[in-house]
Amino acid sequence: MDVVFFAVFMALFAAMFGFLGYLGYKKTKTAEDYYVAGRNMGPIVIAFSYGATFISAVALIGFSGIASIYGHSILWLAFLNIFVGILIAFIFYGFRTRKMGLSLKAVTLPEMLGNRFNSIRLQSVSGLIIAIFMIAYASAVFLAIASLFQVTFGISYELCVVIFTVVVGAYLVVGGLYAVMWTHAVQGILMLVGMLILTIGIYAMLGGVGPAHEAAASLTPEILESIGSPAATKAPNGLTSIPPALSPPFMMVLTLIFGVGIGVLAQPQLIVRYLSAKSEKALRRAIPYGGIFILLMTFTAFSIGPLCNVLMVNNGLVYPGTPDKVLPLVVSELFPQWFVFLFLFAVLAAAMSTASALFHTAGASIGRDVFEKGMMKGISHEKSIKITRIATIIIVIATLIITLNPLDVVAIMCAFFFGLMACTFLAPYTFMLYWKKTSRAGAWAGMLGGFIFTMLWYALVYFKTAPQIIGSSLINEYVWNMLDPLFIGVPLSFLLTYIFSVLMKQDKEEQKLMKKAFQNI
Amino acid sequence: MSLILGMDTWVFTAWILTIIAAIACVIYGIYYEYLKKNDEEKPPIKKDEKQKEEEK
Repeated sequence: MDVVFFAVFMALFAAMFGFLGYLGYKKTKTAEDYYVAGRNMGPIVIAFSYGATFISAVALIGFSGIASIYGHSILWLAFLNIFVGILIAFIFYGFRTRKMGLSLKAVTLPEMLGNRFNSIRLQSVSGLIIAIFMIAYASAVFLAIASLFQVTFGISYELCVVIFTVVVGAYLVVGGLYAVMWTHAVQGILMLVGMLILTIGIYAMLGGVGPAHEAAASLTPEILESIGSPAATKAPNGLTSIPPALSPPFMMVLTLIFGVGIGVLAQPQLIVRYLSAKSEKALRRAIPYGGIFILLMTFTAFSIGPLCNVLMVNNGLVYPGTPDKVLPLVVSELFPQWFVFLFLFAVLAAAMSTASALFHTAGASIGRDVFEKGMMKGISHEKSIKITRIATIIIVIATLIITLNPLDVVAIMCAFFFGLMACTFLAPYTFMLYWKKTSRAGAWAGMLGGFIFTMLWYALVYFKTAPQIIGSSLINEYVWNMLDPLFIGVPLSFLLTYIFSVLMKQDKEEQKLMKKAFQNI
Repeated sequence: MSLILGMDTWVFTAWILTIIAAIACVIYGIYYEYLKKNDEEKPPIKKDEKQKEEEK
């Protein structure tokens, strides 16, 4: 029965998204249509697409699982998701990005950098960095889905991932950003409905907000240990309290909060949403929708995570082994069958929306930024789209291969990606938008400095990754080895961009492009 | 330690700030949609004055 239901719903999903892909194909006439949906998107589609891209299955499953271990202190991330991820992002980055993208005729973040600083090489290198690491992020998204299917249905996740990849790949390659953003609107609605029912259901089971939180606060380490939950040691002050300052759990929470919370500002797949807006008014109107959407996604997911421990204790369930299996376990054991299906497809929608945005951006990075601009100058629009479509297919296949050989816990990988993008692009991107004297040398120094530092920190120092790469961390001093590279990488990148811009000033061509970039700002 | 809605002060602060941030998004939208006059909608005063001067 489960398999039949899954097959029917998957077929409906595929048909609906296939139809939207076809509509996108019909509407896609130029390269601009394919890359930025003709710069013609309205506020609701922008908000839902931004939210659905931002909030992946990693956020819903992975981070609610992380919250079940580290407690409600992760709610600081929900605050940053809205305050930084919507308000700061749209007001201080979105409007300018759209205007500058129009002036520079850019359809991707690397192209904006390349056109603003008169450097095709800068565009190609940044495109390559984005594409490579987006594959890792996309595989983290698929991993979350796999966990869900394993726990809920026992269906072979390899099979599901293959079906899911083909569906996403098909409508994305055919319909371009039109199809991606329209499907996001549909997927976003499904995610909203699923998370709302889930949150209301869990709070109702525990007697409301106050009693539910009090029940979570009353869980002692002994009780948590009895169900095998790592929260016994990871939330030493209780599930509804902040861990002791500078303790390992505190540093872990801090890493997640800032890695994702600040990292959101420099995500190439989100920046494309600004470029697709038909007007500044559309972007302004998208802010309230976006704020509510993120509230109903992350705030709810992070709130119910710790409560899963209470439900597990009350119902004699045992911790399922990894954090990303906690929420699926609670849903499959304590909710009616119809909701299990709804939840499953809500999470599938979350994964599909993020994956399609990642594939689209990574495909554009390889097709447009690396091949078209870097190697095949002066080709036609038709050929440009064709190259990007081929690049997207290659990226989809590469992601599939990596997903079938999973690497680590999903939320950590998500934090890795967000942090890396922030250390690499936030400084040159911010300076590009706000400081007219930013030079090509400054952009290169900020980008490469941030990128190299982050990679070295993850490889040699960071406690989660260094032991896997070189055996043990080079700096074994506590706090330093738990510090996310973002805390040093972002300021370093800002400093390098500034110093090199002052030392190596713009040439005449750059000055001309700078004037062009700022002409509408 | 005193708890507010079952949460400690720091967690409750995060909880309430999240809700406030979402409300701020809505207020921003309402302000720009209904309260702040769009530049495009403002009467083109300068233009009118210039035209009058030209007519004189």
